[in-house]
Amino acid sequence: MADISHPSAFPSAMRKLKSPALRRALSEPATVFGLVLVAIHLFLAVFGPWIATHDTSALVGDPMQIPSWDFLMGTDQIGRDYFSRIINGGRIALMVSFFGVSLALFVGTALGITAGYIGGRVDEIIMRIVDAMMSIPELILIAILTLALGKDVLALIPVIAIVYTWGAIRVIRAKTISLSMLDFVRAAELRGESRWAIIAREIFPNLTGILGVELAVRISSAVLRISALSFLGLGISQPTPDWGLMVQEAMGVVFTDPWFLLLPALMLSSLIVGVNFMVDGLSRAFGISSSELG
Amino acid sequence: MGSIMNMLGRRLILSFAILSLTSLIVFLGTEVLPGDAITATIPAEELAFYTPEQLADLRKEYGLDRPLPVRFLEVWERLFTFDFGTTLIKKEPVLDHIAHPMINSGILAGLAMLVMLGLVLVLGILASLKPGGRLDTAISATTLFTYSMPDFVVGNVFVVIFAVWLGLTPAVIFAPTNAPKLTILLASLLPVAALCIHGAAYQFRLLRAGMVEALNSDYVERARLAGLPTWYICIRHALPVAMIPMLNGTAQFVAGLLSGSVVVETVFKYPGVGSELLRALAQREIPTIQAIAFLAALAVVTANFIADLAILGLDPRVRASAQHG
Repeated sequence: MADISHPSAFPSAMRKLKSPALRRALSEPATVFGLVLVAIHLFLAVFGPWIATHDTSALVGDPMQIPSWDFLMGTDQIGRDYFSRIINGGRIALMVSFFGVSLALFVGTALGITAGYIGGRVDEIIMRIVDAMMSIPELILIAILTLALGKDVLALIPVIAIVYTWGAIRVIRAKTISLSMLDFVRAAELRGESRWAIIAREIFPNLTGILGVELAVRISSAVLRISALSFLGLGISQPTPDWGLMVQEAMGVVFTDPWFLLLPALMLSSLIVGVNFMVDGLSRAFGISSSELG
Repeated sequence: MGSIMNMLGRRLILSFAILSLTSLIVFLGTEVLPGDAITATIPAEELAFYTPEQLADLRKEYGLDRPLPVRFLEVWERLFTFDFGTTLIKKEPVLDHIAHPMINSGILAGLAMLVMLGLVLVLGILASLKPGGRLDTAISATTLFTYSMPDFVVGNVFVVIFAVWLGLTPAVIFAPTNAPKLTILLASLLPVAALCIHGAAYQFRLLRAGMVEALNSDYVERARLAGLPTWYICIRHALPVAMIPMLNGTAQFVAGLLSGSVVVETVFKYPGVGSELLRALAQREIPTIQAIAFLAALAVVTANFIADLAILGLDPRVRASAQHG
């Protein structure tokens, strides 16, 4: 009892657990597979322009060329270097997702802790708004938001943030409620600490694991959303390279050149597969239950 | 019994409140945020030719000069009485315009839901029989994989496999929106499969977790000691309780299914409400967008209400708390 009520006891115990958990995670081939995929994608996202040196939107030669030393994957329907577009096709979506989801998690954490720890009427109001927002199918909500905010790439950041805030509130609220019933929070309350001190020192530090999971899972899901939007003509538009947009472009030539469709599809799904296998393995090893993966 | 009716009444009122909030969000998104309906509907090039007086007249004609709460109440009343108005350009009733696509999309989503539930139940029970066993590992890894496959990617890969490589199906569906429903039904096979591959995985994970927990519980142990056969215990004792976490996520599931069908419909050129929505967005047909958004939210809220009823029927604890509370 004595060491549980001590505020620093819990995090330090977590820290000691860390390395065996990591070892456990790395012993699973599926997790390593996910980590490798994510590492490759991160590497491409950061160093893409140095790997594929052609300008992604410039017309560099005749359309539909077969692969050559100059154009490793040939050229597309209007003569842009296909390799450069494949390598760089995830950068914008990843960047937009990262900022949008971070914003959503920031707001979601603030509101989720408030709803979960303050409770009562505040909780009731916040959660009913969450219910209402989440009963609009995501894609229709995004459609309405793009109508309101415009179709600019930068406008996609608030759109993603607005769409992902509600789920984050739910997850953080649920975790906050289960945390606030634990002994170390009770002890802090009995010591007479203020609500803000308890939130900052007892509750928030224990949310970092689930926040990490949320960040990874929701970024991958946002990349998926954005590419689906681009595919529908509501997201990233020409001439920016984007895998969803490239799948849509390729639909017209699918009978003659199915690879134009399959390559961006492969890039996109390998990113999502990677993130999900990585998160699934890591969260199981660290004992964090993730919302999106059940 | 009376308190159960009470609880149902409360849920009904709550659903109504949620739907009202939803219509407020739709109203704010479509009519308030982009400036207003006039500047949103008229393309920017044409807007330059209008004088401020003409714009003011137009606003008056459409009632846009009145205060926001009044306008919202009007929109709210229209939506809740299913009076969706007329399309902006052709002045045709919105409902006539979207009725057939809605039914077609309903067929698609309904079929997908049935197939998914069947698939999820079978896989969930099989995987939970021996958690961590070879079958469980195989099913769990496969579903995690398919869960990561974007629905428009799955749809397009289907087109490549079945239409391009095997030549079994046409790449896109050529049925008009008012085609006989049997034609629509036949055309929806690949779209349904594409929806299920992505959508079933999440439900499966929820059900599997619920089943594993239920099969480890005391009352299942008791049934096992009583000598009941495993399949009977699974279906009669474990499944009802294990389905509850899945049913709690119904709203999200149906919302996801509707989002997914918009995407998959576009892939296969399926004559559903998805293409209608995209067209309405491109033309800034605000009444149509409002109608589709409202009806979609209505479908989600209704499905959630039915799921609440099902939970009430399945979980004795919830029934008991309703009776005591």
